[in-house]
Amino acid sequence: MRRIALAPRQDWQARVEALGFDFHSLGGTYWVEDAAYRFDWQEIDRIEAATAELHAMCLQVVDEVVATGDYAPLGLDDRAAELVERSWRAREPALYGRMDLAYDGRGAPRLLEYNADTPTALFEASVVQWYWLEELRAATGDERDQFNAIHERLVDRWREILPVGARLHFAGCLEAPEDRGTIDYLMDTCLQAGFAATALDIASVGWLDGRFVGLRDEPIRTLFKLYPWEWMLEEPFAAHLPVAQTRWIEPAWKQVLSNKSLLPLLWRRFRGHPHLLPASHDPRDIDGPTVAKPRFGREGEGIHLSDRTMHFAEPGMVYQARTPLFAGDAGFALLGSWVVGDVPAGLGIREDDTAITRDTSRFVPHWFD
Amino acid sequence: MGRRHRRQKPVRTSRSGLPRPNGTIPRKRSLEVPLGLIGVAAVIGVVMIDNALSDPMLRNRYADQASCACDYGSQCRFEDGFWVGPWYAESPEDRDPGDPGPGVCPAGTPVGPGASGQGHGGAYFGGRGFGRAVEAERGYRGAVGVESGYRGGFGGRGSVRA
Repeated sequence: MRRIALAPRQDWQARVEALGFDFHSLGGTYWVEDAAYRFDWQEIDRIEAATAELHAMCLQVVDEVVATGDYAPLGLDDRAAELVERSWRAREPALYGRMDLAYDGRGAPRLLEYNADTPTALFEASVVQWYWLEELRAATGDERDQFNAIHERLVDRWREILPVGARLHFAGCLEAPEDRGTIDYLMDTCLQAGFAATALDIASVGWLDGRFVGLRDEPIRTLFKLYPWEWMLEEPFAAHLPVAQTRWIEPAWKQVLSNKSLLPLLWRRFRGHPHLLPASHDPRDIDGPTVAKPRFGREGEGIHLSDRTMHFAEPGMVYQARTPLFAGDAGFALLGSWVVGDVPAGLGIREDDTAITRDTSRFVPHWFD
Repeated sequence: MGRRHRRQKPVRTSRSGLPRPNGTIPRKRSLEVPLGLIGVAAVIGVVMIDNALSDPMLRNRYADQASCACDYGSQCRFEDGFWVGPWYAESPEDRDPGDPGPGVCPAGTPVGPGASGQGHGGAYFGGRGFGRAVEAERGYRGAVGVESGYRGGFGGRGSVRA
């Protein structure tokens, strides 16, 4: 694994904007056009295998949480627990998720967290870097590849989880360009899979005659939401969730995985596993450099790095052993390994000047050969 | 002539350590990524109700189209055997300038094809028969029911970006 400097494509901004990627320079530099990460195929295989294994382990943890009914470590109350149980027992299918892995080409990829409910940076990973690679291949004439079958997998996955003739609603914060872009893209994959779909702002979802409804008061039977479960459960319509007949994507059981308290559960269940890092709700269980993360934190918010064992626990925090990310002259790289259904589907890389990945962190394309 | 030893291409192994089929690396990227819908969500997902964040909303239900139309003109729809008007905020304080409100027709306002003077003119249809005469001028009958519901119960936190 190494970072390679490249000459930017001419008019690259116009090229990516033509794809619909209009937030390529959000916050300054977001899409990195003058560099890429290069892997060899063994490293890609290693990342793919680690992702598959970790995902299977995570599902095992969900099963055990539901079987034991022990939701306290996750900070989930009875309402959330009921929704988790019902959706897990009904085997409600999931669409996608993104694991954040620490990997620098040496040793084993390690799980930092699992964004299993509302992962973003999808369009960049699935579409923008794919088109980038195609143009690079055309320019160089070589056969370099990319770990990125996300688009194909998404289209296939819709067909796996939806009945013929299904009509979906897609909801999120449409005022935010990145959220709207993600919803646009996912809705596109759903339409390409042969289904009908319509989008609305999450704030426009209505409640009428005992059901959630769309803009024309039509029943919402299946709703893809780019909006976290933990936010929904704190809002006025949470009262309707236990009785609503709406099928949710992502399903409610994803609350177990998108919660950083998953990490101590994994460590307890699979202690010493090469793809895991020591994690606990008690910082004294972590020997040495430690990362403190809020259970429901997003985009690096509230993360604190310590060079030594921490001694004071805060409510709602998860403590994990620090492990080095890929580090180079341009900063630190975090691997976002996508899972579609239950299958690893592709890789997106975020880069930051610091060891904490934030919403301002850059997206860097990759290839392998 | 001795047999030349042919240099073997290295066999690439899969992640399981087994040799890959045909000694090649399976393609790991999508064959194609067609796009057809970018930007549509921004067009069709417009927030249609400005009264956000849990404002209770009401909607009138009518037995006849004419009474609904008297209140709401072309905003009426036929649904589940009734004519329904648009949603409006339950509390007058929550009604912005675009809110349609509870309806504007005073009781007894003539409604129906005859009352409007359209088509056949006046209250009688010039001998076209009793059926038409029944549809002649009659009073506005108001809503036969009011539905309640509301929007804005999700979405208070904004963008996810995770």
